[in-house]
Order: sequence, then C-alpha cells, then structure tokens
Amino acid sequence: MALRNKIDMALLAKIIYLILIIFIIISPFIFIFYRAVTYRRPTGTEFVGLKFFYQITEDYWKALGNSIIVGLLVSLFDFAIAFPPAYILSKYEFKYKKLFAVILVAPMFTPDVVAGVGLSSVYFRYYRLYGTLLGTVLGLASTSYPMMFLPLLVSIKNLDPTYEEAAKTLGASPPQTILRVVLPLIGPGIFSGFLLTFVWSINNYLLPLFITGPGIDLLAVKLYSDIRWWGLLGRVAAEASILQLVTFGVMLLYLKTLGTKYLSGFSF
Amino acid sequence: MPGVLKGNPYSNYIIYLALIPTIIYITLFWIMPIVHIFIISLTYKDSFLLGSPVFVDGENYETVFAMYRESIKNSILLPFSAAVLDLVLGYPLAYLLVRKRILFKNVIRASLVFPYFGDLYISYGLWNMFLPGGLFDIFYNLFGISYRQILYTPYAVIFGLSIFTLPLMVLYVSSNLQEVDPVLEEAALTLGASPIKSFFKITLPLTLPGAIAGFLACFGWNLGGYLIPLLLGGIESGNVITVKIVYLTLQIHNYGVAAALAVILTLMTMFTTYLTFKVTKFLK
Repeated sequence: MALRNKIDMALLAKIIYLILIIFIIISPFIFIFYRAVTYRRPTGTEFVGLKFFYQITEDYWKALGNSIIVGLLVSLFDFAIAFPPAYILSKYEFKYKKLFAVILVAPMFTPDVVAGVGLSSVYFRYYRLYGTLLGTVLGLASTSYPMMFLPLLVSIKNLDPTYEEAAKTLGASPPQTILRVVLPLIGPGIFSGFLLTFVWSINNYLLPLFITGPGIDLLAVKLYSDIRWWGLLGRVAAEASILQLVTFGVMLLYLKTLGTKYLSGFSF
Repeated sequence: MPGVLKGNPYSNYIIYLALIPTIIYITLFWIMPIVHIFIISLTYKDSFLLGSPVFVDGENYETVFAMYRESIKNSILLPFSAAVLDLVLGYPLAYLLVRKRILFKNVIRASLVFPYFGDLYISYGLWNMFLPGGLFDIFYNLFGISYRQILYTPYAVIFGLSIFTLPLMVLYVSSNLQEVDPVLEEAALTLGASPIKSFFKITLPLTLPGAIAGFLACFGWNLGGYLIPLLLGGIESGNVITVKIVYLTLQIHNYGVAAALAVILTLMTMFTTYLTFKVTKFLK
C-alpha cells in the first residue's frame, strides 16, 4: 500500500511538473493572442473581437510582404552557401577540416548586436550596401546559414553512399550525381534548412535595425519599434499575433512533415 | 565514409573550387565585420564610419571600465542565473522526453521550438503578463505584492531569459541521454540500487557533458539577448551590454565605445562557444 502511494506521488509530481513547464513555455505566446482580442479597463477586461486587427495600417501589410520576400531570398542564398561545404565536409577528409567546420558553425553563436555593429560599419565604409535589399539579405544570411548547414550535414551523413556509387558505376558525372541523385535524396534536410532559416530571418529584428535602415520596411523591425513606443496598445498585440501566426504556420508545417529529427543536429 | 569518390579525377581540385564562394562570403560578411569591431574600438566616436578614423589608443576601453562596469556585471550574472534555472527546469524535461512514455510528448517537442526563434514574443508576452491586468494578477493578489516588485527586477529578466533558452538545454541533454544505454540503469536497478541511487550514480555522471554543454550554450545565447532584458528589466535591471551597445550606436552614435563593449561581448561569447565545442568534442 505504501509503495503504491509512493508511485502515485511520483506520477502526480511528474504530471504537475509537465503541465507547469508547458504552461511556462507557451503562456507568453498565447497571452499575446489574448491581448489582441481584449481591452483592458480599470474595471476589468473586455472582449472586443477583431477590432484591433482592423486598426492595422496598410504599410504593415506591405512590410509583411517585404519580410516574406527577404526570408525566401535569405533561405535561397543560405542554401547556395551551405550546400557545398556540407557535402564536402561529410564526404572528404582534408587538412584543417575541423577548423573549417567550427568557422561554419560559429556565426550562429555571434550575438546579433555584434554582427549588426560590424556589418553596418563595413557596409558604410566599403561595400555601400547599407539600406539595400542585397545588403539586408547578405547580412541576414551571415548569422543564419549554420541553420541551413547543420540539417544538410545531418542528412548527407545519413545518406547511404551506395546510391552515389551506383550512379557513378552507371556513368554519371559528379555534377550529374549531385543534381539527380544526392539533392532529391536529401530533400527533407533541404526543406528543414529552408523553413528554419526562413523563420529565423522573418523574426530577426536586431540585425535589420543596423543594416536595413529606413529604406526597406521589415515586419519584425516595425513590430519591435511599435512594442517599444506603443507597447500597451491593442493594435500592437494584433500586429504581433499576425507575425506569430505566420511563424507558427511555418513551424507547424515543419513539425508535421519532418518531426524533430533534424533539430538534433544543433547540439553537435 | 571518406573516399567514396576516391578514384575520381575530379575529386582533388574540385573540393577546393567548390568551397571558394563560401570562403569568400564568410570572409567578407563574418570575419571582416568582427575584425572591424576591433579596429573601431580604437577610434574616436563615429570617425571611422565617416571616413577619417582618429585613433585614440585605449581610451574607449578606459571609458567602458569606468562607466559600464555595471552592464558587464549584469551581462554575466543574469545569463548565468538563467542558465542555472534552465538546468533545473530542463534536465528533468529532457530525461522524461527520452526515457519515459509521457502524455503530450509531441506537444512538448513542438512547444520547445517556440522559444527557439522568438525573443520578440517572449519578451512582449511576458511583459504583458507581468503588467497589472495580466495573468500574474492572481499571483500578486495571492501574495499581496505590487507588480513593481516583480517586473523591472532582475528576477523577471532571469525568468524571461531562462524560457528563451530552455529548448537549447533540452536539446543538448536529450541528445547526450540518447547515447547512454538504458541497459546500464536497468542493471543498476536489478542489482538492488534504488531508482534515485541509480540516477545519481549512473545517469547523471554519464550525461554530465551534455548538461555542461547545455549550460554553456544557454549562457552564450543569453549573452546576446536584447529585448528581454530591455522590456522586463527596465533601465536599471536591464542594464546589459547589448542594450548599451544599441543605445550607443543607434541613438548617440558613439561607435568607438560601443565597439569596445562589442569586443568584450564577442570575447565572452567566443570563449563560451569554444568551451561548448570542447565539452561536446566537436573539435575532435
């Protein structure tokens, strides 16, 4: 009897712990949605429906379009930059390979502020890219390509080499092998990298703050300044919940199609 | 799998050719900016950006150590406490995820991705929750305290930062735990050890590298946190290096001092990342 009670207590503790931790993690996100459809009065909270969503101005929707375009371009560029090293690092041995791998992963750990100050100064001084679309895409890619590189590395390492050997035996050239055999087979890894870098770049507000300037309106930057100056308004909560919905949509697609398999690559 | 395409006439030089665009990109957009932060930290205000750098030796660093000592102290203490809290909250979660059949396993896995991308939402959501009229009203009424005793204190910042990096801790610990054979624990149990003893004698020592790596990764990520300290900590408690850098560059254009602070932040992150790689044997 005593043992049974003990087990029940352990189970209860486990359930309470799980509920508590899920609540802690999810609540900030849910509360933004809640804030977007309610109005706070001294007497109490009042439900106002979608009123705040109608208050969102047109340039906000334009910024959403900009953000999505920039996000897609960043993902594409990340793929172009990350695929060759991912393929070569998982297939060949060469000198300084480890050092190269570290340099490829380290940008993920660079604080956005540091990257922002550095990039904005070299943009001003040498590249003349400040405030341009190209500068924004190249800058955002500089801290996000490890997110593309790591899933690619995982998927190429898990790829059975017999497929490539078969292609080689049947007379395919190396570029042909990569295009027709390797790329289709690591499709999920590529998709994973695309979604991750996309979500990462549409939610990044700090780096564009330094390098994009007033020329291009990005959603996250707009949201950041709205939060800072008009944080208590319901409209801002509505804006935040729209960007959240886009992000959640992409992440849901990610988890539905790929699960958490490729995320394991992030812990090295 | 080395040497799959060994006999290939292409293999020798195409390796280096295919890497060239990536190397050029990294040099121009990651190494160059960081090198320039070091250079700018030796120049006067925004003279470097305007085209005629005036070098002032270590003056900016003297300013940093005279005026921003508090920010540096906060930048170490707040992420450190958050990483400790992460270890306490995240380790059991990782253990349950890997070892036990639990309810809402997929919900937990999915929810762990949320904080990974958005400090924007965590800071804004938590800020709303802490304000009067938010979710924490129940808590305030229960203990009879004002919201100012929680919001704009270091505790709010630590809480926010720890939610932000919890998934990292769970990722590191669970990937380490997956490599530990559950047979070892079962053997300890069959030989008469209590579950608690088997955990502390077998599981914990074997997952220590994962826990340490997770701790370091959480610390490193929180070093770069910006909006969470700013919104939840206010002017006094949220006085961390990143907030000061943004203020110095975008508002008063003192790039020299900002770059000196950025150098300190970069060195701290690099050191933490290096230690993480060492622990996870990424370098071997």
